[in-house]
Amino acid sequence: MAMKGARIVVECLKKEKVDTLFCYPGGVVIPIFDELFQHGDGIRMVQPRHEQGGTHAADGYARVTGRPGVVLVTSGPGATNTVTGIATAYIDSIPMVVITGQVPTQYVGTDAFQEADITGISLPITKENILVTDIEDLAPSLKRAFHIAVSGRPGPVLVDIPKDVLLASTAFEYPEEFSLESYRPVSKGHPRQVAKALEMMSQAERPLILAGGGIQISGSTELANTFIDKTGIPFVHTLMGHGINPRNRDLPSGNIGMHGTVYGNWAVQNCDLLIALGTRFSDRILGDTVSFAPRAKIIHVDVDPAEIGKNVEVDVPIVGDLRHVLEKWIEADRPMPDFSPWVKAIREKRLANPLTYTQKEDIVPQYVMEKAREAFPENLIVVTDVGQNQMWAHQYFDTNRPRSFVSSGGLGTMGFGVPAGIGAKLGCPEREVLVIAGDGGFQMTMQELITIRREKLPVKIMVLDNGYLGMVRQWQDLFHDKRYSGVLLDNNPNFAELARVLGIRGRQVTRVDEVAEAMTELAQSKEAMLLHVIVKEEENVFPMVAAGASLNDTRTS
Amino acid sequence: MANTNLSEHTVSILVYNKPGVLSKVMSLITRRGFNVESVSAEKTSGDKTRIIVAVKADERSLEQIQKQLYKIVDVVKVTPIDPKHRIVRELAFIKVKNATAIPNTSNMELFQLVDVFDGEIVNATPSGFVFQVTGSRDKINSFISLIPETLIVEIARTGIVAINKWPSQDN
Ligand SMILES: Cc1ncc(C[n+]2csc(CCOP(=O)(O)OP(=O)(O)O)c2C)c(N)n1
Ligand SMILES: [Mg+2]
Repeated sequence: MAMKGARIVVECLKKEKVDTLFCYPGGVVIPIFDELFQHGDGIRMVQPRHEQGGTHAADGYARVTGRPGVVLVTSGPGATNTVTGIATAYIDSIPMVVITGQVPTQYVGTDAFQEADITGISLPITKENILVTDIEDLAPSLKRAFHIAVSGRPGPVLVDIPKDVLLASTAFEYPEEFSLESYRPVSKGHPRQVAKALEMMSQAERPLILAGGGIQISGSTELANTFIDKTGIPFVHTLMGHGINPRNRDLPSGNIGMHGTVYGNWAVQNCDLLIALGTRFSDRILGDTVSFAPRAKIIHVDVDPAEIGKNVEVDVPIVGDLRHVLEKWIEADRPMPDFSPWVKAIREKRLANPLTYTQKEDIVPQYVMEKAREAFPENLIVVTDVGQNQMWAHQYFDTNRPRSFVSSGGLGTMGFGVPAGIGAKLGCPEREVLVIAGDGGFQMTMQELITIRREKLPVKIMVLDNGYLGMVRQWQDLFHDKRYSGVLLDNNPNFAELARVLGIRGRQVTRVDEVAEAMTELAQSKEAMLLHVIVKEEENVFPMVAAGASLNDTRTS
Repeated sequence: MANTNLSEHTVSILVYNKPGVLSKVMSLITRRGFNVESVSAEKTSGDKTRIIVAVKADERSLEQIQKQLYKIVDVVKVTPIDPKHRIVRELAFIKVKNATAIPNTSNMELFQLVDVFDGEIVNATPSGFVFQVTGSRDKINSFISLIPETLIVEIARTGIVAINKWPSQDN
């Protein structure tokens, strides 16, 4: 039986078991919305207030579930509004399928109404993008998109479908298999390299595991925990690498990099073997490349061959799925030497350099973080926006479950928090979701509060209002003699009141003695709630390594 | 990445002949900061196209570029062409004015030059000529440099095609 292109799109989504679709309509995609209306059973259509929000929401959904987030938008402005969301997902390796409508094939290239060359625009920020010009290619293209989005190193894929293709008809057949001569992600690490790495670990005195986002992406958190427990090798993690949790809490962990802990950065600089798992060694982690981990040989495991040797030179490269490599390492059951003197040294560093802050009259954000951590249940999902608030969340929520710390790491996209929180809640409705945002980033996508209301999602939001684009102000404070140029946010409304206008419970907190109790109210609220916390204006995030400086120069004030 | 020891490298890239694949390849190469010296592309067999690109790069970034190219879904194979063991050709057309238009030059000299370079005169009119030369980039560059600049009206070059030789029998 022949089926219209628009219907085929809907059937493909069902074949892929898509349960949530972040969609915003427009001229050329009306046929798909029409089919969704009639045949979209099982697919929850979530309409954001802006396509950027929809894309971040799909991203948040993908980050907590591991399944691809799916977005449907119209051509031209609808498509271009997704660009920031796609770039955010791309750099953090988040699986996503973005379906954009396009003007009819015969108008492509004529500057037709609402035409934008979205496959051209999205070229450098997608893992793959496809312009479907023939109805026969439609189902195979969608199959290809879903397959590529989730396999190997995940990433966003964009499928651009002209209106005439949506209106044309053909027999619907969803390919079972996807196979290409070209696209073959590596799965198994090379046995010799895998063995060599283990050999080096058994001969190290001061080995250190650097856990990156690849661990949770590949679903190997449990394996990594087992491996850490078994070997007693201490570990540090990146922003994307939250969620590692060895049962031996005495084993020091800590985050590293620009706002890493003193002892974390110290451990990197003093280890003799760095075992990097699923990290791309971003400049925020490395600081100065030359003086990074100067005493260490480096083992680097990653599924993407292009990441290996890109930013640092590696002694033992292993291209492969972390799961497989960790399984092999655990199976080998290799006796390890006693690393306890080294572990003890890190532990002493930790004890000597705890995270500190001073809570006087004005509320400081670190104190708020501590109170939040106390008030919320342990299986909380933290979703951050970008800036100082993100770094404090990173430092104070040492999340101990995978896929529970959602943050725009690589792109650092302000405005990510609230919409990503929506996606996270839709992906994990049983878990508590707390969005932590600054006053700047919150205002970039705050219209999505309406989406929260509309979808009746009990998302909790905490806005840390320091009246500044705080992170930029901090750089101006430290490196530009306090010339606070372009960073003042002096017309902030009362966000709690704003929330109430939009139908969401809101509360403003200005005094230190209210914080703990307000946080309990936020945590226990059955419905969505926004807590607007007025915090100290000029608090800085420490530890800090200046951009491009050595991790040796981790400053604490 | 430090741009030390830049030299010209040739990479042969086999891709699925899909719309946009050439722009994907070129955009990737330029985005990662490589200077493209030459590019040629032609459908080879069935559903595939071979793209040959010459870039200025150091050894390490050359390796990076190959790995990055493999991330394009339609890229089937990336083969670096060994500079010591390759066959390279480029073809160029050079349109020149009739030399009698300019003092101290003669067409005879031009024709001799074409002869020395194993070229051909593929078009001849009273107003001027079109020469064709083939060979390495260097050979074509020196041919062009020997023709008085004022005579040259237009140059069209194919960009290089290159292939690795069979391994030699005697070593
Ligand atoms: C979309 C976007 N624009 C600009 C920036 C640059 N930027 C990074 S942090 C920051 C300040 C964020 O201010 P706010 O949201 O108030 O958070 P705070 O640092 O004060 O906690 C800015 C402007 C960015 N990361 N993203
Ligand atoms: Mg702020």
